[in-house]
Amino acid sequence: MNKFVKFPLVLGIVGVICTGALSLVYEITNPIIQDRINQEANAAILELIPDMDSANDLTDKYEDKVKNKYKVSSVKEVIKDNDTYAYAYQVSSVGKNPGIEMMVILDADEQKVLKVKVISQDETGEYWDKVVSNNVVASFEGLGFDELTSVTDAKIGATLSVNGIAAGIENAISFQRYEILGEVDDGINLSGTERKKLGLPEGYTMTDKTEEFKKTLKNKVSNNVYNDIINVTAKPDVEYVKILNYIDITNGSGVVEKHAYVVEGNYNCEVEDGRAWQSHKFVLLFEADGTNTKVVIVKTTDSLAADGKDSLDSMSWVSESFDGKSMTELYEILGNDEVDKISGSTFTTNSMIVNVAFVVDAHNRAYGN
Amino acid sequence: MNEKENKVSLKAVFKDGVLLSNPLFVSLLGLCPALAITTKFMNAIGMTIAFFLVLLASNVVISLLRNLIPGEIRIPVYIIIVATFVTCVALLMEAFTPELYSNLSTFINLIVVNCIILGRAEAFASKNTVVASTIDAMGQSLGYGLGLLVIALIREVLGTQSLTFSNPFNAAQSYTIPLLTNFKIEFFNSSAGAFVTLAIVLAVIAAITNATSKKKGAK
Amino acid sequence: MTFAEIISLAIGAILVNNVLLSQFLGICSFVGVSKKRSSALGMGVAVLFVLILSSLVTWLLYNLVLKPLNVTFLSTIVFILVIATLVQFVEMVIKKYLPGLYKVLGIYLPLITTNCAILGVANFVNVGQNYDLVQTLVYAISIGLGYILVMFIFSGIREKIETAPIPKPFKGVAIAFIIAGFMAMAFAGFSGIA
Repeated sequence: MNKFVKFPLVLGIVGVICTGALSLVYEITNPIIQDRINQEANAAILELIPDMDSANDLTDKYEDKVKNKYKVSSVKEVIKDNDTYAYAYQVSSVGKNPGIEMMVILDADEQKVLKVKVISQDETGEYWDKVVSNNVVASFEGLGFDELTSVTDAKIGATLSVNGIAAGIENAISFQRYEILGEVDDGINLSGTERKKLGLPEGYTMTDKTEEFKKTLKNKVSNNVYNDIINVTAKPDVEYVKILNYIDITNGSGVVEKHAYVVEGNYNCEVEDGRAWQSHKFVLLFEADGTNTKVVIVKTTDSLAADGKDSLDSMSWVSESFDGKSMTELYEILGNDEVDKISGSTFTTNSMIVNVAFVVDAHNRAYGN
Repeated sequence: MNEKENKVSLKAVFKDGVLLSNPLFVSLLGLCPALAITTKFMNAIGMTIAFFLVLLASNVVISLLRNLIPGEIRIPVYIIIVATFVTCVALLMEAFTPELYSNLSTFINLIVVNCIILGRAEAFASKNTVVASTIDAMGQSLGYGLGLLVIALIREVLGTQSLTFSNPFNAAQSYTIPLLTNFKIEFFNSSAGAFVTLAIVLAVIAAITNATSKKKGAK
Repeated sequence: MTFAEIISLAIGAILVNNVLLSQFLGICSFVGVSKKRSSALGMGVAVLFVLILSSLVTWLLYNLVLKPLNVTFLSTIVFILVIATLVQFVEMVIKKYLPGLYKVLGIYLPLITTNCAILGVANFVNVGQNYDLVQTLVYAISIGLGYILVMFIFSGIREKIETAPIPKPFKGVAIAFIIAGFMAMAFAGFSGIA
């Protein structure tokens, strides 16, 4: 036989037989392996949430999404009282060494970390001891999606391991945000729940125009003023106000109908046992022609303002003071200090006024006459 | 080649595999796992068994097919066969001995490029009968396994002061035998410790070999 | 991937988790081809070259063929075949078109198929870490550079130590492993900068 026929033929036959044999072994072993992984994951979830009813595996549903981008190897929906209570993610991360395997359980609605458990790790003994003795893993629990840095900033002398754990949790959070809750990574610093609070009608889309805003501003003002407005450093224990985004809001028929600023602020205020730093995030919305302003507070840590209820209800003075005006009107009112400051939570009020004034001023400098 | 003349004696093959041409200590083959996974004695046992299964299976199959495989493409064929058995062993270990597999996984898959396996396929199995190849696989695995076990024994005992055995099928069952007190040298757990342990074992073997050959020379 | 991430991945692969001293991949060539600096360098360059090519090809195969077909369990068999074929192919191409390079690398190329660093990296970036293409390339290049660095230092020391009065049992490979142990200790010091 010609060797050009014979050699590929022999190689082909050997290859086919071997692949066949391997497939057979795979068919036998794969269910066992999957079953074991599944059982281990379920046991870990049950340990963290003992009163759950069941856990549905969603891994197949997100098959092409898991592992690739988020290093998530399994996703489960945790059911309690016939409702989706949480999502559980098995995530792998890299600390000092690769191979931190964790179970991260995230609240289904409130977007905070419920439970974290490190299943296995390969970190250096002395550093891992610090992580364990400082209760690092538990300190992530209860944190909101944007608050992970408060733990990573903690100096316990095992930065790589702590960052590795935080990175794993962050991946789980991104998964929940972008894959499960269907958020889009559009550069706008608003979570899915925060977006809902804006109450935009169906079909409206948001586009990040922060860069254009910056460019316009830069052309209009001096470098110093520009830096004061744009280059604000956000720190936990400093008073600041920072414009996170400038947004175009397009209606269903493709017309830019509104604009909005996403703003984050930090202020010091009195709480029951002394003073504390509080932060809030709000959106200043207005029509494309600059009328009909509206301030929506999407997040606040201020319990006085929140008054133990839904944080936004007791701040109705905000809407009374800022809503339904035009940007020019707001600019004049804020410039003349005419806003009604009587609300019962002076610090919150003051900081809101200062923050809104900051944004309105910035807008006026960029787009005003 | 006349196979009757080439009949291998069990004793010779074993002596060859374990002592005269020990794959690890004499031929210096398969060094990567010998350094990487020998922090635990259990790992060395697992690696030895996995290695034995792959070598046995590939030796037997290659010996069976030795008259069918055209000489020019024998190497690719060997590689496919070895890779198949390695994957089989890896899948089986992942299914039934998960703990052991997670400790060894990288180096189980790298048995494919372990020169001993391909070396035996080329040098022995392709020229000998199935029975002889089986015996050869046993001898070589025993020699290689002994090497791994010696290094792992030194490293685990000195590095952790104890030996831990666990049931590979159920990781929850584990027994630790305390052997030393106040003699923990963590160096032996580190990668530097791996190199130094191997160096010392090689030096001891060299010293013994030198001594015995001198004796023989004196006679 | 930001520049900082690239740097941290590269430093991690070159110094902290060095392929030879910490991952123990490619030890056979580490001991076998390190008696002279020139041959160590030649082997190093050949490994770097094949590493880049093989991780590129295996990444494409793994992510565009094996994964979509759900046959990732075949990865070991596919990877080793790809590497073996690639090495053969590279050897033929270099021999024909770049005879100068062939003179330098030619004798090392056939040894590379069984260098476990190549298959180890292919497994690591695909099956283990799911790196994207950029990460894969950065990682492969860094691993190759780390290999060259350690090979070169190691062979330099071995050249010098040739004439040293070493106790007889340690002559040859044993002292080489002691040196490797010292180097591993030195490189362990890099773990702080990752």
